[in-house]
Amino acid sequence: MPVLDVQNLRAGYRGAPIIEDLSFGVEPGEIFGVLGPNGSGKTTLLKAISKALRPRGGRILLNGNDLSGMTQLALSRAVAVVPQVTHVEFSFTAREIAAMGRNPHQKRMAFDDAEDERIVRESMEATETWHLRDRPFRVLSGGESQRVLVARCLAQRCALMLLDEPTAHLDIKYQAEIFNLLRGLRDKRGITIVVSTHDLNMAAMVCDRVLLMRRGSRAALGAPREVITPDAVREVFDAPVRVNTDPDTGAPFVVPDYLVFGKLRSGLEPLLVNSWTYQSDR
Amino acid sequence: MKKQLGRFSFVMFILAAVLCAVILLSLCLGQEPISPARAWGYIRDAFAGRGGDEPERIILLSLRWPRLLSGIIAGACLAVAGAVFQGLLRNPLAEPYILGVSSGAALGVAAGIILEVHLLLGFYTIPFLAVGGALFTMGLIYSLSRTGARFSMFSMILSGVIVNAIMSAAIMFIMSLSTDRQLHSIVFWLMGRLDIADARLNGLVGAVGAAAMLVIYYYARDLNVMTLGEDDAHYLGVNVERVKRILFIAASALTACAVSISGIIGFVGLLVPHFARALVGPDHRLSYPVAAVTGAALLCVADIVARTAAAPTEIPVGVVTALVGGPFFLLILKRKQSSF
Repeated sequence: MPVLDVQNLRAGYRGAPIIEDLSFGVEPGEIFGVLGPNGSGKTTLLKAISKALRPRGGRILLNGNDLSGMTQLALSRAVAVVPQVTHVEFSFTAREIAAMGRNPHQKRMAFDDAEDERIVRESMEATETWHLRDRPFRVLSGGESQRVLVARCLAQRCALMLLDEPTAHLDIKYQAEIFNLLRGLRDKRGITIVVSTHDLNMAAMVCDRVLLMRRGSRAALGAPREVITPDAVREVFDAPVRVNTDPDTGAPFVVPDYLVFGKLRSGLEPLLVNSWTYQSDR
Repeated sequence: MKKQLGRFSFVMFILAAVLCAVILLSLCLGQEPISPARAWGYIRDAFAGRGGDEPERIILLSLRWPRLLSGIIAGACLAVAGAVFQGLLRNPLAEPYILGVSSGAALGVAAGIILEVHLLLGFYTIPFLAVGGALFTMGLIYSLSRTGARFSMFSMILSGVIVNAIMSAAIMFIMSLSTDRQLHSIVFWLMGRLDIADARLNGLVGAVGAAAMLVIYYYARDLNVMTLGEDDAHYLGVNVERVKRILFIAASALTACAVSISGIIGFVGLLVPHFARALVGPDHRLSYPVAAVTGAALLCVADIVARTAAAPTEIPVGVVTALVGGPFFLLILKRKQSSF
């Protein structure tokens, strides 16, 4: 049985339907990528799955239970979210931020007990952030704060983790770090991970399966090498690309086709074609 | 957590000692100084039910004691209200005064004074008008900054500032219509004084304030999570809209409590939460109690200054808090540019 089963989902905002009739399932223990250009409905989909947005049609099942019948508290014990950005205005330390993941499990007036502290420590160690524990969250680098937020999700003891563009603001070193971390969590803890991204190459290397979205509906679904094909990417992203194969992993590898871009720009063609030709020859 | 709780206990112990010292000072100092030993004696007598008619005893028990109590209640209420507003709006400048809640309460009071309702309905009327004014203002700001089912914290501050200006203008308008005597008492409310309210109010206002603080403490951990933003709080299992609504009502009630016994006093609600966070960190479960005790002590100290600095004339305590608190706040801002 799939962990997450999205059936004929329709979702969006008043006067702006974003997701139209979308169906797919996520199997236990897989890293599931949600791909698509900006505005294709990736964030809206994650919001619907985390109940931040009420579906306008269809339904979402979590381990066979309809999401609409679950309280926010019950959901937050099973599903954890790393949002695109988290601004922390107060000087909470990294440990305090990670410990907030215990919130859905604690009694109202209770302070963290020994068990909570053990779980927080273990979660921070798993994401290699324990050494940052006493630093204010606000001064951490992009990669560090992402890892602390992942630790917060682990402290939530979730079975399903949703990440919205986790690498959008990170440089290449931290991008690799986050994806390695996600793979480690999947392998060691069996956590199911749904990650939205527009980084096709990273998704091709990390994800077990990917969903390619086009204007709120499903363009393709399957293993990265089946989905990320030149035709599919050209059509969905409306961009000329070439898809190579990574020599080490065999994963598809997408590069923008600069030559075609150059030719498309009218008026400046002679100049551009020359310069792009020069680049692609080199 | 243990380390923080240890620090918290230590800070609370020191602050409690400071508050006790302030209470004693406040009872002893004034135009008619009373020695601590004699003050202690009068207090023991009062508890034991013994009385007397020495002028000192009367000054202490029926003038200074109620006034001190008003200071403690108003100070604690303002500080906690400020802490809640700052946490909810995720803005270090939020406080009852800036959001217009204080002006709303004062408008209620001014309207009551010019209509002379308190002469007809008794001394409870004025505080009820303050509560009504504060809740009305909060409701107004709340509905103004609302779009659909949710509302934005940013437009809340913006509409707060505007509503504040409108309320102030309405107060001026009422003042322009009032007689000299009415004008005098309205001005007293606007400047903030601890000797304006009927002493019998302290019990009622104290009880309402304490209840609001308990409600707020009950939601303190939710508010911690909400400082990460509403989406994150939602993901961590907090019923965001409900907690927001309850906390806004509770903090507005606290503001109204303070205004009903002391008039408008600025800067306590702004300054004290910063001070509390600097002492015990941003965790609201720890910073609320610290803010409450600090606010109480601070307002009492300000009142001592107000009574003694220019004796025999009294300076309004709201003027003291603004004159001392403003520059102090700027100093902190300058030294700790980024963190709050």
